[in-house]
Amino acid sequence: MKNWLKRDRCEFSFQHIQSPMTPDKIVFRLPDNQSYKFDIRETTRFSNTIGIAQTSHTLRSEISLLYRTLDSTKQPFNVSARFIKMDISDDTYDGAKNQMWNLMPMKSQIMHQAVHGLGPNALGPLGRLWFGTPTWFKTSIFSTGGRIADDLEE
Amino acid sequence: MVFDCKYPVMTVAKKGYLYFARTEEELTSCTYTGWKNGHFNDLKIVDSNGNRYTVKEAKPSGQSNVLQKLKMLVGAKFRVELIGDPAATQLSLVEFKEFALKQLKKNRSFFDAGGTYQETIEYVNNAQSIEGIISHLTSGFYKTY
Repeated sequence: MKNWLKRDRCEFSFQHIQSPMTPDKIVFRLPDNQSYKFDIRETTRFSNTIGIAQTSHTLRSEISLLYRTLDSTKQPFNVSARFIKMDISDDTYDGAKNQMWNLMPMKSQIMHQAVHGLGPNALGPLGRLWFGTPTWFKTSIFSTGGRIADDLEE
Repeated sequence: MVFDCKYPVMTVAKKGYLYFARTEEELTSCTYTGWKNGHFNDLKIVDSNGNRYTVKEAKPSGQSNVLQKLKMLVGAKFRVELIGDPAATQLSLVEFKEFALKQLKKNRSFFDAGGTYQETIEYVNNAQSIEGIISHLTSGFYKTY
């Protein structure tokens, strides 16, 4: 079963090998007829490991991430949730953290490196928080902080 | 600066991450956090001619007054003087490819963030010169979106 979804720059399909609910591979076809296969069994295995069913949200996030990264711009994305700490191997860890709410577009690879606190241009803790965290999280901090300040004033 | 490099250069830090510099200024500029983290300690530099140098350490240059030191502490970039052995080890194209592929594998997460890992590996495997590989990687590293 193949469902080809067309977008403006590339199209992708799901290869259902085990069952329609757990596709094993997503195949991207780029405008120059190159194809790129992405194995999402790692994500599925991760979901099974921690006992959570693979939600459509997870799958959509993976597709969205791949679509955006395979887009012709190839803009790097920072995975920003440093608060997630799980004692599982690196290859399965990506499935949990590569979520839409957790990605921050980076201006360049050098900026990405600085946000990770690496390289000669490494940022300090405040810089890493500011430049490496998605806007929704930062605004929620200010929103919560403002409400607390209001409450204290009253 | 004790190293006579042909730019751009590829550098590999002690922790294994890659950094590229197009000029001497980019190679020797850093933030206080970057310097304090020991980016320059045991830093390996490979220039476009395939010469490999090793930096022992770096010392800030020109921080003579209090104002400059204060600027350095609040995040401004400053220049450092690299200290190390000026004698170079010459790498052949095959040796450099092996070295580069090993380092790229360690830095896979960074290249995967832009979806360009496989593309880069293929480029390195098919490249005909060290300068070509370093220039390609450098242009990807500094590309802004």
